[in-house]
Amino acid sequence: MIRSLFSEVADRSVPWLSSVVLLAGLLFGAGACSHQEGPARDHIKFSHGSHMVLGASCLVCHGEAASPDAGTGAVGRPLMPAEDTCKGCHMEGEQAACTYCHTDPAHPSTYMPSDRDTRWRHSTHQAPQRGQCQRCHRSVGSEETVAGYRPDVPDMATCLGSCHQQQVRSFDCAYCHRDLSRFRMDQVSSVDHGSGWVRRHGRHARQDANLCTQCHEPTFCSDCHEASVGAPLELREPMRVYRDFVHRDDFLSRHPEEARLERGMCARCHGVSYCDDCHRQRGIGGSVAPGSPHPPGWLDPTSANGHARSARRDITLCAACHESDADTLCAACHRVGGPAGINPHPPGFAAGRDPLAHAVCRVCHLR
Amino acid sequence: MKRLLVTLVLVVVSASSGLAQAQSQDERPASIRVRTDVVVRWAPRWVLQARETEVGAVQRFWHRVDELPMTLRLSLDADRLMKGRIGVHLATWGTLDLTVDTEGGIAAGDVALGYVDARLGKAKVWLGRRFITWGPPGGLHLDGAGADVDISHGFSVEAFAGRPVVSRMLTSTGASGNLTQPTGAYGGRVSWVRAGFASASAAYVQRWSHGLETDRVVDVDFSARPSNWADLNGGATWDVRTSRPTQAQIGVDLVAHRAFRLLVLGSYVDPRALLPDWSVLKAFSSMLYTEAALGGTLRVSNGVHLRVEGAYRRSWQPDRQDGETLNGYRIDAYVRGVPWGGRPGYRVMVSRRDDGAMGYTLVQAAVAFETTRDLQLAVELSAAFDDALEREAYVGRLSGEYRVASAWTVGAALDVSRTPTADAEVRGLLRAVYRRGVSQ
Repeated sequence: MIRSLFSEVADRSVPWLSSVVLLAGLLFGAGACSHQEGPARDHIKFSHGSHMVLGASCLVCHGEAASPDAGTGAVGRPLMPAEDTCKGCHMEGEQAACTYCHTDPAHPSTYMPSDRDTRWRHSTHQAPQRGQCQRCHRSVGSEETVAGYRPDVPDMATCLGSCHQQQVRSFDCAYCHRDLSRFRMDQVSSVDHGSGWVRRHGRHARQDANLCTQCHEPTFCSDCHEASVGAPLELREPMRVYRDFVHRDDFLSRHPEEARLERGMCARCHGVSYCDDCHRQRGIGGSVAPGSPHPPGWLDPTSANGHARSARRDITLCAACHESDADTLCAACHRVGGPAGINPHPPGFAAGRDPLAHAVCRVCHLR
Repeated sequence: MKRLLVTLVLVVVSASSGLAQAQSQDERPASIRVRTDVVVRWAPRWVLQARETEVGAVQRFWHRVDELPMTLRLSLDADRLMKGRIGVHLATWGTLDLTVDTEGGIAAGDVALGYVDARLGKAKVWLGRRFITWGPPGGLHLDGAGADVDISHGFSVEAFAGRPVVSRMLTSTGASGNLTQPTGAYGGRVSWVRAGFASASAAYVQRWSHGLETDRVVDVDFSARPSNWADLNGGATWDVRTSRPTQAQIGVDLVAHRAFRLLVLGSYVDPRALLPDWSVLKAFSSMLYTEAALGGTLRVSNGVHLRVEGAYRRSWQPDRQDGETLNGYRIDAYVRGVPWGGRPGYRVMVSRRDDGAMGYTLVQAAVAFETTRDLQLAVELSAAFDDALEREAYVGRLSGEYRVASAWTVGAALDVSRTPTADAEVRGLLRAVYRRGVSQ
């Protein structure tokens, strides 16, 4: 079975590519199966709330925040107090025991590093916030339970909600972030583009593709903008139901209406030959006249179903099937002196042109 | 052409040599991201068969062909390798139809994208197959090479040359790049960006195919944020040969806090300009098309949007006394929720469109939610029908995805549909996805 299948493949137009891709994928996948997650690590048991009710100022523990150079930097640690700072208070009785703070004292570790990779400084934020740390670190005061602590880093919604709207609107992600491409889209979804983005995104991408690459890798664009189609995006991302995929749901069933209502939509990405190829394979239109999808009276100029009106509405729809045979099919009637007797050109079309100079013109004008 | 290439080479060489001692501005660590999708789909393909009877009548009927294509897609993005200078990008796929007796071919495959880029000071060069976002309508998918140089004060220059990729549906399992057509294209662009304030660009692209010049366009785009409450953006593509616009768009975004945005948008398309010059149909008359849209987006909370957009659409034939004019409209209403803090993702959309000749309504609703930490389910419903109810399409889909390990997910989907061709149809899909990213 497999052997016959591959021999069948070898007779086709792109056998080597299919085989190489499939083989590479299987090998890669087999190697990747061995990946395992690491064991749970030590955490520091802590509660901001229990410290704040004692009236402790933020700078008692996070004194470094007042430094002009304080910031998280690219790989720098957050402004967490060192162990000696804690020991300034927690030094007697049970509080001196390792288990008082560490969840796994046998394998002590420091705070979980922040997953952020941002460029900013505490010092530039202190004046605008008037020293009110909780305007950014909102959940600090509400933590009552002592538990394994994770740094309370403000989420993006906090930053964007009041101060950094302009950066969001202009998609100036690099204003804060060094690298967003490693995040999944739902992790940075506070900067989602809003509904209807698919219709608008082209204008932004044409202007500055570097904007897009702040978050999206080049292969992200190729998910949709590839001249050929393997597995369409909506099949590879069926769980992303909130995204506006052009071919979502049963697009094949409704593509005639979509093509008719959105001028030039198909030709913009696929080229006209793409439509013709698929239609021929399905026996619709093209050179197989009996399979024509046109209604009765299509060729009758006096009929309400006549082809002239549809052709004038959007000539790219005709080209979807007849781009390659228009010189014999359409020109047979519309040529100079032909039976149709109707000049199909738009007004002013021939101005300044020599109809015998181009091969395309000679299809009609030399007969 | 020759002058352009010489200029480009000089700019790249001077930028790279003058700045050779400067370190790369990109301080980010090297990263490699890989994604592999394996999708096995069971879906019938319908083929129209027609035959002429003895009395000359044509009988047409749809013939069902069962298919079981297995597709593997591999994408790789490696950035900032070799001290931040080299990047490698690849997206490729291959498909085999596991039902050997399928009519019309069982294998297809292509490289959707594959190029290497190298940073030389403030210059960046690339070689391979990639997508160019600017130039003719729809952009350019290209085999070729190019370069861009950041000059100073936000100005940059870029250029490319190569052969456009043309796809053909040679087998039933997917379209592949067709390399038999002699085609070529080159282009250049100057752009200026001041992040958060304004940007502008002007591009020139020329393209040939079948030995004919098919495009010679100038593409101009701009955006500006003159105040905290207004954004402007727009652009136009101009056909140099006919001195007519191919497409144009201008938009104004009015922002009232982060919770509400009002969009005013105007667009223009000349469909005939999308046809290649070797097609006789390009010489035929066709309507121009324009749309004026007004929409509002209410951001109810983080990740939850309510959007309503209405548009007036007009198709007309200029300079023609007996030319027909079609007046139509479009009304779209969305509610969309992006997954956020354990909340489900969902989308409900109602779209009503009418071009003055035909009305059409599309209703879509979908929700995806986590049942457990590693298991997600999604339900989608869609209905589409025209006013004459000659073509109706309904589909319901249940999808599931389970995270097997940190990088692996497997999923399945089941569709039940009614289409203009089939009264009832069931389709299935199995998929496995591997995603992995390494940063160092």
